[in-house]
Amino acid sequence: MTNYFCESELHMKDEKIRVLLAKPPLDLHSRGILVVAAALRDAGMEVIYLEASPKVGIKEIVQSAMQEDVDIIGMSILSGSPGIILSKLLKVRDEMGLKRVPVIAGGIFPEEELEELKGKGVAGIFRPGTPTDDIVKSVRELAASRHKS
Amino acid sequence: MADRNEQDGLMETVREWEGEYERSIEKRPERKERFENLSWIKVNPLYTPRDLEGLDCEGDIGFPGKYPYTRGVYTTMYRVRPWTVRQVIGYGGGMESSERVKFMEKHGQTGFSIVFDHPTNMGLDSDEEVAEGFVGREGTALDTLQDMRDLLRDVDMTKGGINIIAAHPAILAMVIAVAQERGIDLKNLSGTLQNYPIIGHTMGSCSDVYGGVSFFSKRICIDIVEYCTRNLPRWNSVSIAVRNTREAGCSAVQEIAFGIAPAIAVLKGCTERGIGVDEVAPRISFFLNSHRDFFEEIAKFRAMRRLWARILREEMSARDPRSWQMRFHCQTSGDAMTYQQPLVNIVRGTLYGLSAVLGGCQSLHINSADEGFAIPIEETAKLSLRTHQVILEESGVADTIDPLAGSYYVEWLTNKLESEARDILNKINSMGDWWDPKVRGWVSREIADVSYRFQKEVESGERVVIGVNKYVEEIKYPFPIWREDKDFIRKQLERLNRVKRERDKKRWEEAANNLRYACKNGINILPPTIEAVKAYMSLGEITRIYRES
Repeated sequence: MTNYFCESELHMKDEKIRVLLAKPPLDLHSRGILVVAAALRDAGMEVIYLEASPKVGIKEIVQSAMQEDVDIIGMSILSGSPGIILSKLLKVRDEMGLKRVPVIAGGIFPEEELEELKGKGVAGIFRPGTPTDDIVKSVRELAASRHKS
Repeated sequence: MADRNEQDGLMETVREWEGEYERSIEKRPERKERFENLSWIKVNPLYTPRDLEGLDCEGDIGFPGKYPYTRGVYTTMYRVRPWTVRQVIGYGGGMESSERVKFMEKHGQTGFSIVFDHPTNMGLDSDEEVAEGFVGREGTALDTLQDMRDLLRDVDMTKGGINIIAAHPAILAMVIAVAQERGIDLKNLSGTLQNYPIIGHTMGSCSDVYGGVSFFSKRICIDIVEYCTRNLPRWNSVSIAVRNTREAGCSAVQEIAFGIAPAIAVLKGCTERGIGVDEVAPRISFFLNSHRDFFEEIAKFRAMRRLWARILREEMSARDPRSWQMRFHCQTSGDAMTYQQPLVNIVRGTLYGLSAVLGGCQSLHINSADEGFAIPIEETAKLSLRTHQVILEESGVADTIDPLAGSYYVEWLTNKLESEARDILNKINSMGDWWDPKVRGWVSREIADVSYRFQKEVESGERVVIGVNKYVEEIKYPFPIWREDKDFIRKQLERLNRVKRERDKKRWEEAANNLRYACKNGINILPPTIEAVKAYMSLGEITRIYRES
């Protein structure tokens, strides 16, 4: 579990949007998520990054989200099956009482699965070629609507 | 003196031309604000003899097959033996992948290369919980010796090398077991295991497999090298897969340095065990990328070959010329391939493949049109084969050796990349070596920084990616996208369960005890791992014993 991107500036903690970025346990292609982590950090957010590891399963990811009190969970999926992984993540999230923390996902997603995933409750899907600014904007909006609710 | 005058005259002309160029661009500006390659090296409008002052034609460029091998590792290169057409294959299980192996051979593939799914790479079985959603997706799922037998069923193991993209000793053990079943003398078994002390976040990290214990991953890496050195003289026991590090985002210059540093670390690890540099270095091979910048890539291959030769001879005291020869397989960039307008990837693949050929690769994989988002379908995979064939048999580029030698630009860039890569290597040496987590942490951060810098340049439009930030169109696919067989996982679990049910329990126990004993007592783990796979111990079971012992 490495989080070189977690820069804690305590005095700003209350105002900062906190994002947990994670990869499913065996999803080893991390270039995209590292770029997104840097972009969110540059936009002033606090990013907690969980590296792909067999020791960090879906349950551990949701537990971290709870412990870190994040506003949003971002999953990067390049190798794994998005349908299987995201369904499991949403289920565990709901079971652990974190339903109000939105889940967004980035990576390679088959066209035909997009609607189904959104229907299941994935709050945003970012496919290859998405400018990082779009991701920053969506995260801000999702975090803001969460604080209002 | 005549030479001197001639030289002065030439320099005068160069200065005059530069003056003219400056005046011209004052009237009509250059089409870009900055001209920089992928390592952010400034590219001049023109290169002339002035840029090659001090270059020694024999000592720096030399001849093919002669030190420092700038022009290629072999004397005859592609005039006698073309590069191996080695498109990587891997999906489903052994049975499923072997179908594709047959298809590719039928259409002109000349070498075998297999990639495994992530659970296999990390030493897990297909039925483990964390493997869910990954089985057979990005490579072949392999659990037991039976899967390896299925995979190799139509492969002639005596012909051409068996390239195994994996770091797990049990996978090599399975190849050895199949070879022995077929009565092949291990002395003649040729191939490559990508036994590479990789950095954590790229792909298939050894330290992840062995529970984060890096000293153990070093031990296993060197165990494999030691075993191969003694028993498999024609086997490449290490393939430095810096190609994947490049995919993670590093630059061409960094690719050179981040490839040579782990290779040196392996050699030093071997020396600590009393295995000499000249025993190992000739069987170290490299696995490199070929990316967007055409000339930079060609210069990279030439520079890396020369730097390796110089370091091995001058700093590592290697005496066997084979130790100085940097042989490499190349797989063209996947990260430069786009999800948008996939047909454009065929054009990209052609250019990247051409750089690799002009750079003197020994073996090549040209990515297919769908590389940006899926396993290639048969049709796109076949097109990749055809691309090799056009380069080799139609274009004429392979008819003379190292045709770009002597180009002012390519030679200048070769020098530049060599010297910048050397600076990075010096920095690594001052911090420690590749086995040191501190060094790998630094490397990881460097890669992330460079990849982010590039991304920002794409987003600002400074770096053009056709179809992504320029000439954008709605996404449409002119061919079907690969989809896995939904029933595959059930089939694979059935295969695994059948093997577990039918195996000889007593033989399994014995093999487990021997393996545990070897792990605990510093005995080379390859021989007991070979016994274990023959007793049908699964990959996951073997990994657990490694981890627990």
